[in-house]
Amino acid sequence: MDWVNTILQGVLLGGLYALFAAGLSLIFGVMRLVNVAHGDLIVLAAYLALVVTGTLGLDPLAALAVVVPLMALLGYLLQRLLLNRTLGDDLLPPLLVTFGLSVIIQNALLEIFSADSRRLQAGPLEVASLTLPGGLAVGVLPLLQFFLAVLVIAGLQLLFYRTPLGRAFRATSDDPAVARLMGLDNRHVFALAMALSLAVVAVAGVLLAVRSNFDPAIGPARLIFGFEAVIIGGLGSLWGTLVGGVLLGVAQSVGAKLDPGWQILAGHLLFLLVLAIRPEGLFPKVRG
Amino acid sequence: MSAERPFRIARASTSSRIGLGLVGLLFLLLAAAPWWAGRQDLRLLAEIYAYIALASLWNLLAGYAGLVSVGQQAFVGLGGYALFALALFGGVGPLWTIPLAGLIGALVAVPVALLVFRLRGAYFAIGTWVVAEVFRLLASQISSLGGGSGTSLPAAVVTSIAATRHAREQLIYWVALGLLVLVLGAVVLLLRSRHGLALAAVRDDEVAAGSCGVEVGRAKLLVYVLAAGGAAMLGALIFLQKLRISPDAAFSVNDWTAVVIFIAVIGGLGRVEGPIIGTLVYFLLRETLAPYGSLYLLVLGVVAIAVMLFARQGIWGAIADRTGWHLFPLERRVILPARSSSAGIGRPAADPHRAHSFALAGLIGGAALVMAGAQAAADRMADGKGPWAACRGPESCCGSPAQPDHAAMVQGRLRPDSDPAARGVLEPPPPQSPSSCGGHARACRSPNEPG
Repeated sequence: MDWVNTILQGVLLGGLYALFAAGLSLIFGVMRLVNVAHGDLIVLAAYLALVVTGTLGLDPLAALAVVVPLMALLGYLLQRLLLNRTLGDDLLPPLLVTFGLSVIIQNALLEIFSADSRRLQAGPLEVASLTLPGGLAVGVLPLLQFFLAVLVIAGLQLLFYRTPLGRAFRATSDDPAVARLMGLDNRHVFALAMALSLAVVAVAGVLLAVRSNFDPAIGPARLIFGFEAVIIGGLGSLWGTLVGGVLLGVAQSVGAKLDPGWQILAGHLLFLLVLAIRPEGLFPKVRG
Repeated sequence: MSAERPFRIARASTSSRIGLGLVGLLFLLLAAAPWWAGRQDLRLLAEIYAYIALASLWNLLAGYAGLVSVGQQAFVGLGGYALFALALFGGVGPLWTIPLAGLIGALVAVPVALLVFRLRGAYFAIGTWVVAEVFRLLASQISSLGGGSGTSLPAAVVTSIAATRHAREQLIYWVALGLLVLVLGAVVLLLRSRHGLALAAVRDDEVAAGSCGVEVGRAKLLVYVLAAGGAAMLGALIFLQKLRISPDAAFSVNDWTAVVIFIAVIGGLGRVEGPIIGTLVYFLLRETLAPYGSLYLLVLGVVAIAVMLFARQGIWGAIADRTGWHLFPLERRVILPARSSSAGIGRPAADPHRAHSFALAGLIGGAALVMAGAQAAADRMADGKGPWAACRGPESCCGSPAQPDHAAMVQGRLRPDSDPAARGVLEPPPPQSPSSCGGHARACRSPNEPG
């Protein structure tokens, strides 16, 4: 039963990792851009939620209503003003510019908020739990987070395959030149994709802030978790990303159960194992 | 390689001859640093050498082999831990651990490459980062080396380098300078060799290079392994100077990769001189912004983004494009005999501005030497800029003034179809012998070389 519990906790943690990964995979799918600042943007969203809950006295989940649009706006502007200039045949500029952004965000957060670790308080929700048949107790908050993650991924899936905007995303992804001939403005489409990605990042950031302590330096590790979930799941598949996140979460919690020092390492080793045996991921759709 | 071909290939140019001369002078001056610089300055200089070397290696990876690694800290940290493990458990003399660390780094790089080479482009970058994280987490599991909190080099080991602190610091300084010369020399020799041509071809167009017979995978592996070995040696040196190691310091992505990438980008990617200039800019920023905490990193990030967006060729790239200067004789230029020099190629012999440029080079070089000498008496703050002043010589070693033909003849930008006389001699020979591979790769390069 102990092991069932471990795996269950891992699955719930995996939902959060899938959220980290969804934003990453979305913009890679649309514009072949790997956003190295992704993890730091998650942390930025967490700090934004901290400020919002602190000044407006909102509940963390209600703060989503403020943080999500703000981050989406930031994403649109970031893409329009900065990242669109870096796109092209050469992959170095987008990589280095987002890497620069990552260092800038980290150090700016460090200057403003110091290196102290923070946490968002979610009140009684934090300790509420459900008892499952078999005597397993599951926290309401992790459960809520997992379902929120599944909801976001299902929403993205719907958006991609059932709406005009999704069609625009897919068309631009398939062939930017032809998409422009059909009257799509690539710069705008890319900016919308980044806005959507940062909206997902905002949700992930708030959930992270409620779940665990955070400080300005934890961004890169979140980027790596998201990246690992994307690669394990297979590039370009949103449901694959969810599976990848869940597998990563399970690997980490099983590793932590064996030895607390092995938690993160077990996740990395799973990733390297997948890379060695099945480099295209478990459910590949596009080749990177 | 027949003897009667109607042209010859020149590598050295006036600027590279003067440049090499000045680099030689500068080397002598820096080798004598223990007699004219204080303790702090020696430490700073050694740190500068380590960063120039790390940035040169990263430049080789990203600027030439197209391998954008964000995980070089894996090998720097591995080298540092190799130093501690060998010195503590193996009883190896600390200085001898440096080449051994290089060997270990190169050996470990082979299986790592087999894994991460499965990822392309930006995913390769993050994949290398994951490997570095794995190394960091594994290092923090080694309880005999202090686990997560790290350990210090015991006094007995430290004194085994040299009895007095002064002698020790001198020795480490010279080792640092020696490693820098080794790394720069290896990079220059590699780029001058057949493999260098193959690498340039891979950088410009992987598919075209492959179709010309360049073994793309092997060329990349060679560079990756070399860069890993170099980074491991530098890691051993860096932590020999620090005398203390911890997983977070040894595998720090900010210290050993972020800063190094910014240095290479700001100085100029794909140029051997770039990392030198970039390192000087970095230390200038760091020393002047030192009172403001981590602000210099923020400024560095902004500068790197600006360079990437608006001046992709970096500082040295901008200088070289305008002036045609080269510190190192790397480029290959086609020199045609006098008969066809009227066609505009190989004209440098008759240039009225040459005498002037020689005089100017002498003046600037002399001024740089005087300034460097004056640094000897300067205090620490001024010495933060010391190496900058001292290195002004080679940086501004003007050779011949800008010659448009030279620029056009820089290997890779020479368009065979631009000159009927040149076209005949530049037609690639049929691929029969391995020795023709170099010329082959060159001819296959796309004319639009990325800046």
